[in-house]
Amino acid sequence: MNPTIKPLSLHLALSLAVAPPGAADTRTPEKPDLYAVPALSSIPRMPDRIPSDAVTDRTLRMTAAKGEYEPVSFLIHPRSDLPKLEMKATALTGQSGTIPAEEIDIKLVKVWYQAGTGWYSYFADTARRELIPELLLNDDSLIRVDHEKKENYLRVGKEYRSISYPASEATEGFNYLVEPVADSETLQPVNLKAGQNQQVWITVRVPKETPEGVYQGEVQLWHNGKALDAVKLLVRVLPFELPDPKTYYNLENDYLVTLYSTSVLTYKPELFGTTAKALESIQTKIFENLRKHNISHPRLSTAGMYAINAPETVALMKREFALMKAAGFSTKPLITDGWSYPKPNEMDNPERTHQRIDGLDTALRELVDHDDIYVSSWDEAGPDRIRIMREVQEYTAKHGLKLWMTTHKERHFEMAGYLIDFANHGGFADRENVRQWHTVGAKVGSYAGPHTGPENPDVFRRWEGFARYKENYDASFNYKYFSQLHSTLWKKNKQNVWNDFAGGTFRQFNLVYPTPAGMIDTIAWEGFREGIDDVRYATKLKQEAERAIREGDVDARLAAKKALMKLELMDGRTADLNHVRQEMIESILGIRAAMKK
Amino acid sequence: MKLSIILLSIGLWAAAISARAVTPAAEIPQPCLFIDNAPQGVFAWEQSDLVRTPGNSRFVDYASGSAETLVLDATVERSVSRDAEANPRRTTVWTVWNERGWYIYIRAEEPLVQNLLDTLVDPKSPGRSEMYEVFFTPGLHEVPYYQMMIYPYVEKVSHVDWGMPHRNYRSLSSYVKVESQPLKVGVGTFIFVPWEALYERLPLEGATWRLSVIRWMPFAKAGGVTMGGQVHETGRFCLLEFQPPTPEQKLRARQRLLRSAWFSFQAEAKAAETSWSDAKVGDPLFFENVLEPEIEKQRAFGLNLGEDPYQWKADTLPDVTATASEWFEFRYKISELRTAYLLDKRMSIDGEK
Repeated sequence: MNPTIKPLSLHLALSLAVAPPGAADTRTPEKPDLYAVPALSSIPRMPDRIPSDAVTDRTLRMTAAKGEYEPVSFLIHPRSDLPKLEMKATALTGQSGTIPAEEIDIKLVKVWYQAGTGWYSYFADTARRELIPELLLNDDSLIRVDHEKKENYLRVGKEYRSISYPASEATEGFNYLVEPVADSETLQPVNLKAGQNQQVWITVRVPKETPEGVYQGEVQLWHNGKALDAVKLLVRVLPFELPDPKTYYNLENDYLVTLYSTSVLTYKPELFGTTAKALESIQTKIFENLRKHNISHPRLSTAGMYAINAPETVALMKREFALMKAAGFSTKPLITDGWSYPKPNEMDNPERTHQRIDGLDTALRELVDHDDIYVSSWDEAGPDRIRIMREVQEYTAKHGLKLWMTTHKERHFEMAGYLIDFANHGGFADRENVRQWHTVGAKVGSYAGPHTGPENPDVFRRWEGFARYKENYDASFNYKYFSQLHSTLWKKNKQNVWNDFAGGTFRQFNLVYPTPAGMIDTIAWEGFREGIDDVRYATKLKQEAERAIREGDVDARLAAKKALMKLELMDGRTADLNHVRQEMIESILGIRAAMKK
Repeated sequence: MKLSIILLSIGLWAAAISARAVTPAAEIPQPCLFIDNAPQGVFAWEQSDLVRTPGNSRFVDYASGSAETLVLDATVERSVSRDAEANPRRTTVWTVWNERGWYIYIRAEEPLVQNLLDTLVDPKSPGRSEMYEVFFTPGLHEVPYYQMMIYPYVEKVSHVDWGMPHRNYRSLSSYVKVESQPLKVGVGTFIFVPWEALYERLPLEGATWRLSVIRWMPFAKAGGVTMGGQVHETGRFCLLEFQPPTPEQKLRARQRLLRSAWFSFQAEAKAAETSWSDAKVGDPLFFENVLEPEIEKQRAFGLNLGEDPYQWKADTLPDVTATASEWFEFRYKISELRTAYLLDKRMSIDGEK
């Protein structure tokens, strides 16, 4: 059973929300203790303790390139109950201009119960429940947490529903495409309890046209209409924009950033009680969210449907492609999920496969004016399937279509290395594996190293970013954006993207939580963005170094080579990435200064 | 140590655990005794009296349905198939600890061991895929978990780092020693985890951890057996109760760990002095204003305990966890100081022009 509880009874039962202040009580509460903490950290910020890396500093400092999103964070430790605490940011002003307050996004970090390994892993561990920080919310009351039962409740419309039940108690699937779940569009007052920390997550977007310089403002805490406290926010805007990421081993090659399961246009509206228009609205929000988080090349996910209904698929592909373009994504290369393997009804008739590939090829080429198009083949294919795939791909390759597919050690390279153009390797980043694929000119990404699911933001910052980059990978290509509904089995399987306790082999694979109103971000997803930003800073460093080596005098050339040397010495797997970032900025500015002399 | 003394220790400690346990009998923790001279290596274990104590043989079949779903795990290839005719194989796990680290010994009986060994020359031999998955959590709540995959017949070990390296988490791959040797009855595997890898979890007051060993037996198509739960299912791992050390043992453990941390700090500090003070590739300003004072502070703190770390006295020893964290993690300390220094520099933009 997944019980529904009305707000009032929930309030009484859980005793979680702080009692509303009496109308006559206008006393100003005691100022809370405030602690600056690194936003990106492997140390979870828990309600009941001050983390070891917290500092009693009321100034939050950050560096950001023009156009960059950059987070900072602090903890509020109330000395007494703080009902209806409000927060707002002022504009940031500097000598050369202003960063408007609208560019400063304040979110509350929601701590809730997840499966036992939740901070660390994507594997299910429903035998335990741990309190874990994860969601970034405007409205803390979207989720209510029962600490006695270790259960979470989600506000769906006007009621709260349990989202912490075992599979045996599930009564129905949760259709996130239509269920009325929505975070507030603006930051709402939050009720804080004495001694219980609240982490606040601030993301500053620096407009591209902002002149370099130091900008200063505040995040203010208000109570009952009166200013209670404030933290100072200092932003150093750097004198450059970040480039698109390139690979570590070759500055000419894109470091592609893509992700599985980013499309809802593939859904049949009638199977989900929704409309094509509503799906398109969600898809638009998905693309907007992906773009803000450094995804550069989302998969054209509709291409795989071509074998089912070609005319409808072509129309959907065009629509998805248009939405991708409108959101500002690069479509070169065009990565699709088009099938380069025989469908079950084609097994005994290769001609049918060829006809389908001909049609898919024509349709894809109508979308783009280049040949850099990837289709896919069987997921995690064993030797038998690889043998069949080879026959099909040899035909597909004659069309000039390229092949990406999931690969495994001691199997795909040995059997089909000559046919695979983009190997998405299963497992953790491994430079030796990359080296092998590069000998045949293939790009290499990886997934499941680890899958999405762990809530620790450092996992994605490191593995999708600097660690993978330093291992000479060509792409971040992980599985997946969020746990999508199965088009035909979601009712039978009683899926619920919000429930981490349904069991099975894996936890929910959520970098975000989908709602019709938009994606709800997580700290892991912010870690992902920062990981790709680390690669963009490294790319900028290498571009500046290359320019200095090509055009600079001897001092500039030596400064450039010194910066490259330092970048090589940074250990992607173990280095403190906040330090890596600042050291890269120091190097970039150092090369630029040397070029000005 | 005499068998009778070990058995007596186990009996007393097990009785103490049982008396405290609020869990069902099946979940009563396995004792992990403090043993001064714990055996190192497979043959030392096989010759010790410890393997004549019961150990933990409470392995149960890994549910075949669950095992089949492991094919979805893209990070590990497991041979989980099970022949209904295959007889059960006995697996026993013993663990002890002392001031140096945590010791695990696994004896895996395999009646076909000679045949298995003979076929290892074949790269596709299923014997090469015989594997243990060792999982543990160094505590019960809000602690990381660790996974080792040990292939006992081919001396291969891989670690999965579910935590990210930082001050409070380090990959076991740099620390753990594993040795496997064929025995007449099967194979023995010795695992040693030094406290340097887990110093903040040193069980000076005793502690409860979670441990599971899952054994896959593809050679005989004998499926898998588990000591506690399925893979990654930390909530069903066996509980392991670390025996609290005596005051003398506790002092030794504190002394040894702080000595090791001190030596680690000294090596790191020396390397940092060389690199950061170098005007060509370092940053002498940062070194002189920030790093050198920190190094001097830490050196003074260490030297204040006594010139010879082997003579450090109990009454002056500082808190182990806090001090070890400062010294073992001096590399991260430098990163933190450097990050703050560079942020300060960025905020005084005039200084860059």
